[in-house]
Amino acid sequence: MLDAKNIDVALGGKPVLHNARLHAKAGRLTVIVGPNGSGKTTLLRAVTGDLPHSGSVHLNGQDTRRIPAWALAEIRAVLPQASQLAFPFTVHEVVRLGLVGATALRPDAAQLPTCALERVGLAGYGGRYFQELSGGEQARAQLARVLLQVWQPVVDGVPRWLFLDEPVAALDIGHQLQVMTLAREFARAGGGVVAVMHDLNLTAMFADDITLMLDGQVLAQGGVGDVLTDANLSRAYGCALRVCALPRANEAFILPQAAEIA
Amino acid sequence: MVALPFNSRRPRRPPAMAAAGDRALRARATITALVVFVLAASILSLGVGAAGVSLPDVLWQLASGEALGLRDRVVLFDIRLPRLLTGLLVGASLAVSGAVMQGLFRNPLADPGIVGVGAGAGLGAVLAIVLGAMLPPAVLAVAGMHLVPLAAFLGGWASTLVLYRVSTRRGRTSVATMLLAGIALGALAGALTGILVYIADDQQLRDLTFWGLGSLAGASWAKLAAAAPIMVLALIAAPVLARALNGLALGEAAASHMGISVQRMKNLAILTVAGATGAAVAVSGGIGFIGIVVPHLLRLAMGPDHRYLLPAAALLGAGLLLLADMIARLVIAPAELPIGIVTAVLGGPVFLWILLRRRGIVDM
Repeated sequence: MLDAKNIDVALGGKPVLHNARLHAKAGRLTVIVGPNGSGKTTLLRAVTGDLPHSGSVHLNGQDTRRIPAWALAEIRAVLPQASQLAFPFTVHEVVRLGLVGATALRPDAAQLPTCALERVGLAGYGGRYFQELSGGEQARAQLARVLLQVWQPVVDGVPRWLFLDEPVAALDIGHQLQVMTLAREFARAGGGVVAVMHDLNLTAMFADDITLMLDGQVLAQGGVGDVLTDANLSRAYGCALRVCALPRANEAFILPQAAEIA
Repeated sequence: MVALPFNSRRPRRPPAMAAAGDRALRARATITALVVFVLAASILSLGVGAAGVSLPDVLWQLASGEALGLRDRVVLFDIRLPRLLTGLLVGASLAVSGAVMQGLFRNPLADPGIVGVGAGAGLGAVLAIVLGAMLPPAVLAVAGMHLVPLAAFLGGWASTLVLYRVSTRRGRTSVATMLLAGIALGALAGALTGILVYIADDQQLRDLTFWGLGSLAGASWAKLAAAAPIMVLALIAAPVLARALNGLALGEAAASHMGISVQRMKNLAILTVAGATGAAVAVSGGIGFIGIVVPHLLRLAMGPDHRYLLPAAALLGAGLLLLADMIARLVIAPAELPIGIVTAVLGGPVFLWILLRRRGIVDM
């Protein structure tokens, strides 16, 4: 259980988040969506402790400010939006940085980086220099490192967490589906996933719960059907949007074209 | 694109060799080779010098039970041995503080010489040389020959503290501010040093010039005893930093999410650099390029993983400094060159060659 309450963040004296909240349950994929500048990434960075903020963040019932960094790293991994790597590390060496705490002590630890690379579709990329990869490949290599850090979604009955900041922004559609499937598998296995997303259709397809942000506040929070409504989306994005449903699975999708037709 | 279930994956069989991109084996081989290199350089260094005491003769005498001549004993144990140990420690300290600073700044061109730590240590030493004579005799009697090393160390430490205070806000150190503050500090220390040079008399000018160029010629057991503990402490602290420096390569946020206490590690890194650089400058003056060339060469040879880079840098730095010292002693024997000239003549072109070969590293 992730429970963040009364989160206020000011950047450069200007309030960016006001009284924001975020609830996420282990075993579910929670997605934060909203227009540019609505505070999605700011909320995630506040919750992961990267930004000074007021309010409280509890993870698995513990105040995250009271958990030492090494213990927090055992139950939570964070994928940043983009990161610049200093020094010429190989892909294998970057992924290996995710081997921390108890995972590093497993007997099969030496093979885990290779397994993690296989999971994100980068099998055979271990020997290449990280800087020589394309943006999308770098994003997936970072995801492999983060996955490695919380390799087992549940340890001793305690769920572990993945925080992903726009995990599919740099990816083609095939790899978008692959990465979102990975995130869902992690949640199905008992872990918690919180992801900031831009793509409403991927969100509709994979999310279990959605938090919709607008102007630094939470506009709506709940299940896909409760949050992704014509009224909510049109208001949040400032344009006419229509939520449609696939006939068979009743799965939502959003097309701007549909709003014009209706 | 088949999604694999979690938890169920165990590697099918342990791979017979290291995974692609895992350079740990190469790093271990490099370190082993470096140990041999340092041992060889040490033995050579004991046998080389103006006095013409040859090591095989001495070893033969020892083995055959003959007593060593007084002259041989003095040359070997009171001149060459402390010089050897000083060279080993100074070389290791300079290379390790360079590697730590580069990891801390996430920039392969950062060096204690660049962020003003070396300049601060230099100012301390010059202050001691020029103004030391004005101290009350009682203080001089106590401080004695420790005065210059001590002042150099304090100067390096003080400049690191100022640097740190200027560039740290609410427990976060800004690397950009620290680099810029280092430039300002270096300029300030240089200007103050310049003023002191004007005040200095002829004998002091001579001392200053020699000290500034860097030399191991003044090595003695007493100087070693004053500076060695600081250098040894810094060298012991360095491996503790390895994992943190690896994490910092991905940025401070990523490092903290990997479970690294970033601020504490940065504090330790800064203390390590100040200690190693200050003490090294104190005993040997300004010896350039070791701190920047050694980590570069090693990153080319075995990759940037600090778990291996730091011990390897200590070894290569120590061995290279011994070699440079031998060259300094032999080129114009029986006189000797300041070692700083040798390291600059050898290190400068190597550094330029590295930059030419891999222009990309400047942008990283």
